[in-house]
Formats: sequence, structure tokens, C-alpha cells
Amino acid sequence: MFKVSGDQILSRSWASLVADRSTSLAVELVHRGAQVVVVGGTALWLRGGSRWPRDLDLAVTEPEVPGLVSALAQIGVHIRAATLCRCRDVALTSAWGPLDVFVKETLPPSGVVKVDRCTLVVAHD
Amino acid sequence: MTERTGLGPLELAVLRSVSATAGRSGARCRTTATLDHLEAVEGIGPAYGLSVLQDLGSSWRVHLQLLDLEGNWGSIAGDPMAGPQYTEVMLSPVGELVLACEEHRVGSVPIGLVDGGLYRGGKQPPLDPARALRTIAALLEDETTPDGDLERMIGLPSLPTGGTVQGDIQDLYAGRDARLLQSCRITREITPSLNALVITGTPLGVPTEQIEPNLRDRAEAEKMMEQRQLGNDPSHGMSPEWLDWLDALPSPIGLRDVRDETSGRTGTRLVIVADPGADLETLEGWVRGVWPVTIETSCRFPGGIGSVLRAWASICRVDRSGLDQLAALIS
Repeated sequence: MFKVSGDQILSRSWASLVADRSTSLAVELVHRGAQVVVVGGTALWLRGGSRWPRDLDLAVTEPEVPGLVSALAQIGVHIRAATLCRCRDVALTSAWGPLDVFVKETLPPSGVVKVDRCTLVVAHD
Repeated sequence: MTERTGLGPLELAVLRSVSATAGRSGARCRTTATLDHLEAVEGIGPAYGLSVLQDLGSSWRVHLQLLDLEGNWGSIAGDPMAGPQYTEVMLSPVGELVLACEEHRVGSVPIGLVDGGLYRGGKQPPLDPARALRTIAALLEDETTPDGDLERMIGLPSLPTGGTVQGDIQDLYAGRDARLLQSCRITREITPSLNALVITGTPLGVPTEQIEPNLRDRAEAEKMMEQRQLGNDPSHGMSPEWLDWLDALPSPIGLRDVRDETSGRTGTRLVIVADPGADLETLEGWVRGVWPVTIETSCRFPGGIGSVLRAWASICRVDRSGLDQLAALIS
């Protein structure tokens, strides 16, 4: 058997994949029907920030929780809508990394950012 | 943390309870007896105590195990433990050394320096035990050793799970908050019949059983993304038939299969089989982008690594018997 040690990654390509994964997660959820606003570090990153986000923060209104729950289930993240609505702020993990979901009465002021043919609603602050 | 070992009150209470119930002559005792003692004497409930017992005795949690655990205490895969009435515990030789040190019968032992606090949600990453002891020994020989030399001697943080560490190492060793990326150790196995990446080490705190399903979820998402780009958007809903059709499509990233072959005999072993002719470097980059193959951790050495090492050298200079005994145990 011929083995090659490949555990020293010299290229930065995988580092950029890590940096972009919260954005990719937002895109996946929106493509699957979630209606959410990207907030927090990912919002800053999408608006040109220099520090890549540790996780994805999403704000959602209660009527849109079932759509988010359905989208999450499609990517292997399982939580009940009733649980999200009761807890209001929940930390989850996915194959794209951690995400925090905030169930809000009203959503923050936001604009639109296009990523990979997907329109993301991104908070201004 | 105590100055003599760097351990906290919870760890020491657990060690005292194990010592009181199992003794120090190589005997084990049923875990329930230790937990009962921990609650009655130290005031720490069994639910808290059990997780600390597991941490202090598991090679996938800490480099220097202070306990010797018998029975099913879980695994790196994230398997559930057996009930405490079905397991046993005793002090390990390092655990006995720690209690001897805390009782001032031997000199200081830098357990807290080596094992860090990352395994319990803290910020200080673990270090390679042999390098840590050699670096302290070098400082005992020459206390003027510059910080740069100390950093080279100590090397990168070392994970007991075999994963790799990259990131703001300069900030970390300067005593500032540092963002580190822990990633899997990945090798390549290429034979006439197999083109594969093999994961043999993981980030600290990541159950290996999380990795395979997440790789599959991401691989499926890549196929869906490709179909969306081709105009095959399943906005009508994803029927089982559509999902079967998607599953049969070739992977756009060259991923053919993922097999978790982790076992007590082989250790961590996840085999990522690539399509023949797939570019393994590109695939490896993609794999590393999947969570939790790579995770981000916020770490810190308060005061900087030089300051931390010098503090330990200063303590050990008074009596190096503990340091010497620890070195003998880990050699």
C-alpha cells in the first residue's frame, strides 16, 4: 500500500472554505425555503468585514419558524418549531458549523446581498 | 488552580474521592461508591462528578490521564457510557503522583500546563507532554533562555485526539486571545483499487461519529447546488424518488463514499473514498471545510507562554522530584 502524508496543508484554499462556510450555510437554508435575516458576524463579513465569522447568526419571526425548521431538517439539523418558539435563542450545529437562531418579534433593518445566485437578507448592523 | 499541579478544585475533589474509595494500592472500586463519596464529603453531585471522572481518565480528553477507568466509559466516537454501577475507577500512576504532590510529598508536577483547559471548555490548549517537560528542564538549566527559544522547544499545541492545530500561534504565545483552527489529521491511501483520504486524528471534543454524516450531508448539498445551477431546482419539494435520483448522480467533488472504521483496535479511522482520477488535494480541501473536520477555537495562555513556562520552572526549581517522576512515567 502506498501512503502519502497529506496532513500538512500548504495551500490556503481550505482556510477560505472554513471562512466562507457560515455564508454557505445561509445560502443553503435560503435555497431550501427559509426566510431569515443574517445578523452578527456573518452580516459584517458579507458587508465587507475583515474578520471571518465563527458561526452563522440568523434572526427569524415566529411565522417563519416552520420554514426555517424544514430547511434545517433538510441539512440534517433537527429541532422542533415549538422548541424554537419557546426558547427564542438557540445554539445549533450543522455540517457547515455552528449557528445561533434568534426568534424575534420584529426583524432588524436589513438590505440584500447576492451570493451564488442567492439573495440573502443581511442586517445593516 | 493550585500552584503545585495546575489542577482546579473540582479535579482535586474527584481525585481525593477516588483515593478514599479505591485506595492507592492498585485496587479499583465501583464508580457509584466514588460518586457517593464525592457528594457526601466534597458536596459535588454525581452528574457533575461523572463527566469529570470520564475526562480525567480518557486518552481522547487529556494527555496525562489521572485515573484508570474500567468498563464502558464511552469513546472518542461519542458512544454513551455504561451506568456507574457497571464501571470501576482507580487512580493511575500519574493520579497518585498528583495527590502526592498536593500533599507536599513530592515536588510540583505541571499537569495543568500539559493538559490545559480546552477539554473542559477553557481557553488554554494542551501541550505535548515530553516537550513541556524538556522545556521546563531547559529553563531549570538556564533561566535566561529567550522566549523565542522556549516557543520553538514547546512546539505547537498538541491534541490528545491526534488532530492538528493552525492559526494565530504568535498571538497565542504572546498571551493574547488567539483564533485557532483544529483540524483532522488526514493521510492518503492510494492503491490500484483505492484512492482515499483517511482521517486518523480529530479536533479535541469532536465525536468521530459526527464526521461521517456531516460529510454525507455536505456532499449531498454539493449535488443539489450543482442541480440548481443546471436549472433542476426541486422547488416543488424533494420526493423520495428525486432524492434517490440525486443520490445516484456522481459527486461534483469526487467523493464516492465515506466509511467510519473507527474501533478500539484501529483507533480513529474514517476512510473517504474518492472517485478514480479525483484530485485528492482538492477533495481534501473540501473535506477540511466541513464542520467538524475543522473547528475554530478561541485560545489563550494568560501572560504568554514564556511567562507560564517560567512560572513552572520557578516552582519546580525548589524541588524537581515531581518533575523527574512525571518524566519517568511518560517516557
